[in-house]
Amino acid sequence: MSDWLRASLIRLYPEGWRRRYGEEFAALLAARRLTPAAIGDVALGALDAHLQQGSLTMGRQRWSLYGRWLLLHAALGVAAFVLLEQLHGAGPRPAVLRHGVAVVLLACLVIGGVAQWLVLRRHLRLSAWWLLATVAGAGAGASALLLLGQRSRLSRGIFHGMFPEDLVLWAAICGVIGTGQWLQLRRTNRRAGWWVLASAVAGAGLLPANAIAAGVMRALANSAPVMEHYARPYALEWLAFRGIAGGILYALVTGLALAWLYRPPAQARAQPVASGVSGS
Amino acid sequence: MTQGRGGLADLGRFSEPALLILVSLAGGAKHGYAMMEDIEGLYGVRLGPGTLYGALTRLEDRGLIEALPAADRRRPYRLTARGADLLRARLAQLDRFATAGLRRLEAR
Repeated sequence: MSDWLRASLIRLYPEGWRRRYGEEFAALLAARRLTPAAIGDVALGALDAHLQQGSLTMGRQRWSLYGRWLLLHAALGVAAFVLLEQLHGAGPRPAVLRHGVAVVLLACLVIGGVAQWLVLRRHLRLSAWWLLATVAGAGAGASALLLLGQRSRLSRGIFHGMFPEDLVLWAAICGVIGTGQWLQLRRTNRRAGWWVLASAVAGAGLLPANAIAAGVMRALANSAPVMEHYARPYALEWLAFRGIAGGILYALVTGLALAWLYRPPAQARAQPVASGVSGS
Repeated sequence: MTQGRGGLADLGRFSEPALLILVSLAGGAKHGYAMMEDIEGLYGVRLGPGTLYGALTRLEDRGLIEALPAADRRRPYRLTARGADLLRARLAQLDRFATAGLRRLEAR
């Protein structure tokens, strides 16, 4: 019973903590009587270890970084919207559509940013550099967007359809942003080059995700065909739904790519986690 | 108080256990259970296992103590030079504080 209790108490701690301290902590627990006070102390210690690791909550500094990350992505969405407005000119689109595009962009960037940050905060001590790289990459991406737009004289709105050049354009934009972020990632990860590809794929995936979401909306609303639906003013909740769909896809692709890049080495994965207790 | 970032003041509820651990390790390298016994004999306080390791992990993170190779599942820790400097400064500060307090009591 007491061995089971000791092992259970150790399992309360985060895996990384157990890998480092589990064996010696098990030896310590085995050497002393488990009073209710000691059990409570260990339980509190486990909670503290989770807090320290940031898996249950975040400290003030991490909240600060988290907030900056979200604000940055929101600002990027606004900047992209303004640039796209300039690129496409003052067309006849109603205000609700312009606002709707901003909502879509913001949702994509915020959801994607949350996913990326949730992975990165565990691995990058200098996460502030990631923010700088994001800004630099976004600036380069926006410049590329303007250059490409002027050369090709693109006249369609960004969410008008799944045209090949739109896919290439968004893949290029996100690829350039990813390149800016790669400048930071490569300091800590030798496979960071894959991040550029993942960013480009995620960028290209925004349009299909958006079209699928529009199709779902059309089915739900039993309204006009997809292309016709694109041409009319949208309700903000529909646009938000499409933004969330694009954001989830962007978050999935980039978040999974980061999780893959920062996965523990095979040796660490194979190492057993100390959680059992035997007599001292 | 002194120290600031990287010292003991920012350890919150672990600052006192951390000081006790540093004092214990000043007498030589010890593993967790030996530290608990030593601190109880020295100070009359029995640290709980969770509290002990909460303070240990923080001290190790700050480079104030370091782990030695484990023997029979028990891993001893020892003070680093930085930990010794910080402990010396902290004890000197407490000594000045205690002396001033006792002097005031005597003057009553």
